[in-house]
Amino acid sequence: MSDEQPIAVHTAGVLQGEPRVSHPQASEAGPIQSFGAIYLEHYAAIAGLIYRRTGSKHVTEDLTSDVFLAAYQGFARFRGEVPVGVWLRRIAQHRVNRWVRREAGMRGILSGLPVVGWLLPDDTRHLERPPVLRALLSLSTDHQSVLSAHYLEGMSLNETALLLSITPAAVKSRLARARAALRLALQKEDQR
Amino acid sequence: MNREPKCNRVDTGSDSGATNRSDAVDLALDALAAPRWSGSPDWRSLQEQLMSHRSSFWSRTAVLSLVAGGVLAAGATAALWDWFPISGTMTLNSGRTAVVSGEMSELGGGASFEANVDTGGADISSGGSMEITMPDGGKATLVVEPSNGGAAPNAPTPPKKD
Repeated sequence: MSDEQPIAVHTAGVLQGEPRVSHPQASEAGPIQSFGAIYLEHYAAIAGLIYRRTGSKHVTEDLTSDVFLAAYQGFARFRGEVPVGVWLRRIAQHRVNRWVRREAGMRGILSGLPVVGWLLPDDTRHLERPPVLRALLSLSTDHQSVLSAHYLEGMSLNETALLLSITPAAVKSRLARARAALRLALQKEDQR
Repeated sequence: MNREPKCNRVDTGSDSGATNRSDAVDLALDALAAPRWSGSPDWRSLQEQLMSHRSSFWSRTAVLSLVAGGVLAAGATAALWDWFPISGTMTLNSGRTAVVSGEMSELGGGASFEANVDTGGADISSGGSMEITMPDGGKATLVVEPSNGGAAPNAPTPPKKD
């Protein structure tokens, strides 16, 4: 989802080397049991993505569960348009982006209150975060997403394009803008 | 796709060009890519959540099926799901049609959302509408207003540039 480009270009394609999956509902083992294989296969990747974006173990555990719950609920509608790994990452990115926006809103509210640090929930103690993570989280969710996919998760341009439903060229230009924004954010962190 | 992150730099042009290991941005990205998740999957716990969610999920969507049966502002229903794909033929106010596909996703707060679609190059600035299928199979109508270049109703912010 793009805050800056409501109309995005969808890039069709399939990541090489990743099999498409059949619906768990079609399995004789039952939907939940079959979904377990997907969960176990992709858990580390999804939790890792969330952890690197949020820096919080607590948030990672919660959001990872949310992602797989949402995936299970949505699996009947999943038609294999993209590999299941990309589909799960999309859900994860959406969940993290939503967390980022909500957390930013909460920080705005709390910043006006005379509270001390230990009263803040774990996932709002932004002052305890490493400066680089604070800088990342200060960017737009679009910029966070593209940096996360390409640099933090090591996805190629084409894979990132598929994940974000934009063209590889758009990924490249968005990466450049995101890097510039991160540079500014890092400079602000240095001045703190 | 299940793999450890790796440094996968591209020449991103205007900002930094090729990777420079001493560049502050590259160093920051390396630091951000470094953390490893050490937790283990807990299938039993998730299974319990799936079982408890399943019943509430279907009862909720069953109600929404009835609600979404008529013409419904998509925003009202989109807020009840975080994200779902959409596709179909949009009837434009200009008299033309455009085949679009994309996604609806919540912008946060549960009251606003964003439609992000590929128009296949078609100009939808005139606005239009299309029927979309909701996650529970119900139908809703997505209305694109002519003035905002594609943002769906209730979208709080117009497109902004970097």
